[in-house]
Amino acid sequence: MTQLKELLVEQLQNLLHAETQLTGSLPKMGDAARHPKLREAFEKHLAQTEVHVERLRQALELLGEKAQPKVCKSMLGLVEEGVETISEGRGKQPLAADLALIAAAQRVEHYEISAYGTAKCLARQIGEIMCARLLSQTLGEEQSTDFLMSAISDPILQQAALDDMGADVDLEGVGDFGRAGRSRAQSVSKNREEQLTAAWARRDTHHE
Amino acid sequence: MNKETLQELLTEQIRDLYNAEQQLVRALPKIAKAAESAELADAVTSHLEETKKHVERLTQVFGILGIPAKGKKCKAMEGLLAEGDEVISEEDAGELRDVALIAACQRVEHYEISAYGSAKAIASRLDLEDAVELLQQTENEESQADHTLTEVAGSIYDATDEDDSEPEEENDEGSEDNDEPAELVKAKRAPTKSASSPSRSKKSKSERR
Repeated sequence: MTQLKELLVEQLQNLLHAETQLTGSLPKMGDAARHPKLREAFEKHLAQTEVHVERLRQALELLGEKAQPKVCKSMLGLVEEGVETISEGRGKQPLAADLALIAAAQRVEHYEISAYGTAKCLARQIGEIMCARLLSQTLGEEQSTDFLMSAISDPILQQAALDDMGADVDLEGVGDFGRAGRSRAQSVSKNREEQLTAAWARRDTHHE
Repeated sequence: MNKETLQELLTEQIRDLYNAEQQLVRALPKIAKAAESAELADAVTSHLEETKKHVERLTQVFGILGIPAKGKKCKAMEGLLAEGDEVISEEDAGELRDVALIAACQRVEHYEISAYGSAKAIASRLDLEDAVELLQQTENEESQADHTLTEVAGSIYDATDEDDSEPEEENDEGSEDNDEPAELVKAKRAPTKSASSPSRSKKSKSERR
């Protein structure tokens, strides 16, 4: 019992370190993202991650423990891979670079989904219900982020397939492509991306 | 972006996974040995056999792509396994260490579930049906391994509960998962009460795509 609590505390300290590392690396991922939707997703997830750090502090406080991080080697490795993905992405076409970033980000999300899943079970097991609730909230947000990343990659992959067929699909109306326009996109791929943005815009409307 | 670019991206993902799985083949025996619970040792050992198959399947995928099977150092897996080593060296054998080992293994499974998911999505766009099939088989086995570990953890908890009974939590299922991406934009600066919808069971945590 006491031991399970100790294990929970360790798991939370480990997560605290992981989330703190992420607050440092998400802005870099965001800067590297070429597509505005992806950049936006990273920015939003950064704001969420700051909340996650705060929740972990609260959870540790509920357990009567200090918010002392414990080095999370896994996240160090994941972040290092992210850094690699960013630097390799500079030589890639924009959509390909974005897909690689998404793949890296989803690995991170899955790490967290697993870690919060474990921590939440432990908290429940020892009857720390408030603590379990905080962890559940974050778990839900990590899962949502994972889904969102998949949702962003889908149309990019579709577009890649269309490009290859030489298809000229009219996706009606062209959204503002704004900042991503300064990327090294070739005019053709820029056009594709504009179509993509329009498709996203319609998708968003649909969701509302 | 053309097919070639996508194929390069797929190759990178497969190389990462190939190295990750090879690292795992080396690490799993140590984890099985460290497990006190026979159930956990069995689960890890049978996953080792699966993992060897996963390496073989990746070799087949390399074949489909027409390139030699070559890994690219997967730093994330190195980190994940280093954490597993830490558990083994820092804790004494017993139920508690088993629970910690399960936690470490489940992180590994999730890494793989995510990586196979990404690779599969790209292969699917490239119409590489055979590769998709191979990747899907492995992804399913990784998910299954994750579920099995959750069950093993459950029985270890049950065993500890015999000495120590605790009130059951009834009502915090609500925030367990919210599949709707739109939810995620609502993060607030301060922690809030859960605003998510009623959920499915916890097993759904690895379902995606």
